[in-house]
Amino acid sequence: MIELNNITMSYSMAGTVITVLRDLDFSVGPRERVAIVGPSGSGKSTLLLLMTGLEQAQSGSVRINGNALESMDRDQRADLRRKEIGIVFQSFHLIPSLTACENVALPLDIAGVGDSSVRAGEMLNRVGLSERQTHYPAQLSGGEQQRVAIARALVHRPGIIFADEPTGNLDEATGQSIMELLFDLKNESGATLLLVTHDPAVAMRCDRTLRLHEGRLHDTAVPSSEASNP
Amino acid sequence: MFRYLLRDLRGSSAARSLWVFCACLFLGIALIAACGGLLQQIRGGLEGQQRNLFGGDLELRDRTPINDRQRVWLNSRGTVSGLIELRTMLAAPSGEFAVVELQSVDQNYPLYGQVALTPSQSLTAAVGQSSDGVWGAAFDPLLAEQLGLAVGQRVRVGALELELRALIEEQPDRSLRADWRGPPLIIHRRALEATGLMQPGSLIDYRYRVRTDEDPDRWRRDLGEAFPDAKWEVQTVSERGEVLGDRLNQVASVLLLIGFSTLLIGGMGVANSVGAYLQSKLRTLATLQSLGARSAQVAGVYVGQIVVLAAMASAAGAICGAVVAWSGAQALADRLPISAGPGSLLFPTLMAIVFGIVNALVFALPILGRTLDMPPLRLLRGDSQPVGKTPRLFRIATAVMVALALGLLFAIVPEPLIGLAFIGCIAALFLFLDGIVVLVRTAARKLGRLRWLDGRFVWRAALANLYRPGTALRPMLLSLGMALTLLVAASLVIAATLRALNETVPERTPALVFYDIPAAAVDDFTRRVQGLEGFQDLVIAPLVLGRLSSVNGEVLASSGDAARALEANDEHKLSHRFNGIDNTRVERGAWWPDGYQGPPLVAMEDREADQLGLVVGDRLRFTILGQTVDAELVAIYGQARFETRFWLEGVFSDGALTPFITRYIGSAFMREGAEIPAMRTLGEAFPSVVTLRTAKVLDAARSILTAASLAVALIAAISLAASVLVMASVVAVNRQRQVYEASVLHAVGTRMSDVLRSVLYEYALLAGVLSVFATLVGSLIAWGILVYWIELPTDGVWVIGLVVATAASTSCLLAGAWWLVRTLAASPADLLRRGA
Repeated sequence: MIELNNITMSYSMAGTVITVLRDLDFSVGPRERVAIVGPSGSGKSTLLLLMTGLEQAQSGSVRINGNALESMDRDQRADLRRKEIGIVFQSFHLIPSLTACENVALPLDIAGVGDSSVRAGEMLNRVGLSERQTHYPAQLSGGEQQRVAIARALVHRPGIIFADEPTGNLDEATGQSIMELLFDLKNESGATLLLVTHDPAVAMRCDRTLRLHEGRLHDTAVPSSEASNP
Repeated sequence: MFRYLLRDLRGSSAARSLWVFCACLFLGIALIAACGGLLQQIRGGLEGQQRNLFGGDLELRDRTPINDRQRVWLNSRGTVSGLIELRTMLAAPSGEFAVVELQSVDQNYPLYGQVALTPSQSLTAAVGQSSDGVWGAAFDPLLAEQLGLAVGQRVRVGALELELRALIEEQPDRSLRADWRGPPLIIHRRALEATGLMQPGSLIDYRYRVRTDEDPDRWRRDLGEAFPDAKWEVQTVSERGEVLGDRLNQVASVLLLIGFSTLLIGGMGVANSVGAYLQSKLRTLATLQSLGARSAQVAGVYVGQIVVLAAMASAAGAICGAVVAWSGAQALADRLPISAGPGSLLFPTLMAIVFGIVNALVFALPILGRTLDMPPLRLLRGDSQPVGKTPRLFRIATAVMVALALGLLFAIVPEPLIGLAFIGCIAALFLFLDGIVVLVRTAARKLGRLRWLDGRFVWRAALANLYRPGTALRPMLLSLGMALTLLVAASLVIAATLRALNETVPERTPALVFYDIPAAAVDDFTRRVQGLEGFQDLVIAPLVLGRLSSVNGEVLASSGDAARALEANDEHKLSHRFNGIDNTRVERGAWWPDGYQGPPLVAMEDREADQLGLVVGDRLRFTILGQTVDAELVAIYGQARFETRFWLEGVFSDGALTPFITRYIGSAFMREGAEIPAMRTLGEAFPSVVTLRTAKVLDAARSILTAASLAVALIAAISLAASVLVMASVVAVNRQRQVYEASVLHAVGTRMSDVLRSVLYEYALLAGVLSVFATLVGSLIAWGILVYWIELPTDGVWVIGLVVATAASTSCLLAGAWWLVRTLAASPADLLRRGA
């Protein structure tokens, strides 16, 4: 369960204060699929990072499964991410000095899980990269890197998946296959999915679409084709 | 593209890599300029002082004058000043006598420095013949003090009456040795002849000092080839054999060593920062290529940027370094003859700027070449490790820059041969460190597989940072290992030198030194001294003059070895080992046990022994008062301190010299202020005993050595502080990527405290490896330098190496960790955006 109350967020840039989010209120229920859409620079990614605890709002409250992020310290927020959240970034953010398998195993290693390599291998197998386990990020294509990133986001079976324009750096065909993978894995795990996207087709596959415009969220409540069958 | 060059620079001004680059370059060049400038001034001052004391660049010494052919040769190769020295007695108008060093000089004297006389006049006027036919003389203040002489009085030397025309206030080459031989009395050559003292068999020293711009060693080689049979002894200024000269030489060598180290450490700061800056530009570079820019254009932009940045940062660093050098020189100016004009700093400052630019290009060109050779797509995908060969054109350009950098290095440092040895040493160190990198990687990889680490993510991450591809281990270990090793070596050498400087003139020194105490008067003399007001201690030892006539049966006078043949004429000061009157240190062999009663044993002073090629175990025969004394050489000793300056050349086991003892030498410790009345009392009671007050000579020596100590300490402190800063910047530069990785780790759920703990463990492991390596290898290098180059004792300094290595590695790694912590304190989202 994700709950946002009265969230306001602004940046100071070259002496000018830019408010990207204004008094936002919304919530996302368990197993729900929610798309956040909006023009570039509207604050979609900021909103997503806010919900992961990687960014902090000036005012308002963010609750993840009942935990108020603003009352947690940095380490507690990290603990929450490790246990309950998986993040897929537009720029993948893989660690260049780790192989694909090591990147996927990271959340398990951090949690001190013993069979991390085995589980990471299985996850890579699941995303179709069983042959690329020992390859470094620079040796993988963009689509492959994003698959590794998805595998890393899901390997520890999080309750919530955040995806920040996961197909933004990929071509259409690769993007489609990545989205298929993401939705399939989401359905398998039963996790909540919150994704930022520009792609109306991707948004259509979600239960709800929230449009961010001039710092405010508008629930477009577009029925999705898969909404009846989560 | 020039417009783009400037725009990109302007746009990068907010980027951390640009500032880190500039800061590293600034620090490195400031370090080089500060040390280079100060080094230049202080070395110049020390060299000037040594030349003044020595009297020229070279000196030929013989018992007979040189012939005309030799004179012509000498005059064709430099300016020559002839000096004749003769030890004799001077009779004062009061009827008192004193030993003096009669010196006859020519019109070229002194070749370096100036003689200052009171009343002010030229030396020629002071020693010339007056209209009434009386020759003049310039006399030493010590003589005035001993005999109460004053300008205008007449004294007698040999058969000649001399008028004392001037007091010598300053004599640049006034040998400290002259004190025991007698204070100098300068007269004209023709006056010397008129004394009637230049008889066959007289012990006269003919010294020919040469001033030349040529390399003294080459000059001496040429002289040897021109006159292979000559028996003279030739010394260069660098071989000046007195303790003070040795110390100044050692200081100059230490400064040179610091200079080399700072060049390397500063250069390394530049290299690391250039690499990091270009690394941050790889994607931009690929973008430019993808937009249609040709490789040459892109190369032009970034070479231009490196040159512009390097020039600006180097200029700022060089100016800052020059200011530090200038301030340091000012602080020392009243102690050392430093020509601290801003002009003397211009050369090292300019050289430092050019060195900064060239050094930046040396390290920038290969990276740039390899990067431009890569498909842009790989760069765009984030492959930040250019692999493959550097293109030919860039290889050639790099080689030219390397040659230029080496040329500059030899222009900055004064001794090319030592420079070459240093470069060789660095190359060996580099290979050695590369081996250590492989070892650390292998060990970390193996440790990383331990089951104990299962579930211990922090330790696993720390170890992984040491062996994963793309980690900063290699540049960190190579840079820091090299810098720390040099720092340890330099610190140990500096510590040994400072200790030698401090101990050269001990705090407690004898106030009076006595020569020519008649054997018959020793007991009476001793009682009288002990009864003096302010008396503290007295040491008396016999002094016997004798010649070394043969070594292992080889008669020196007929030896084919010129040095040995010349030595046969030399009279040596010999004594018994008695209460350590002459502070010595055994270098080879060992003293005989106390109470030894067997056949005669002898210990020789190192300079004499080395000149003759003597080794412990040689059978020596001395001729003393017409009789021979055979003794086995059991020890070779060096002068440990600058104390009484008896400089005994041979010390015999007790009893061996007893039949020959006719006089004694002694030294007395007195309460401060008691020495002058004591001199007066003793002078009246024992007019034939030469009594010298050591305070003035020791103060002069102490002042020079203190200045040298200060100079070394000052440069060492600047060098150490700046080196640690440069090393910290190297750590920071190499850790930029770690910031990104830490942000990703944090994003996927690692506690920041765990991230930092893993960094601290990694740094602790690195600091441990670095400290152990630098202590061991740095100590080894220091040992080599101290034993084979600077020739100073090595005992008791080693712990300093460990302290310096541990403190420096810990502080620079902690500074790096602090930088990382500060960086990671920013919002993780921000860090991820930057990293992307």
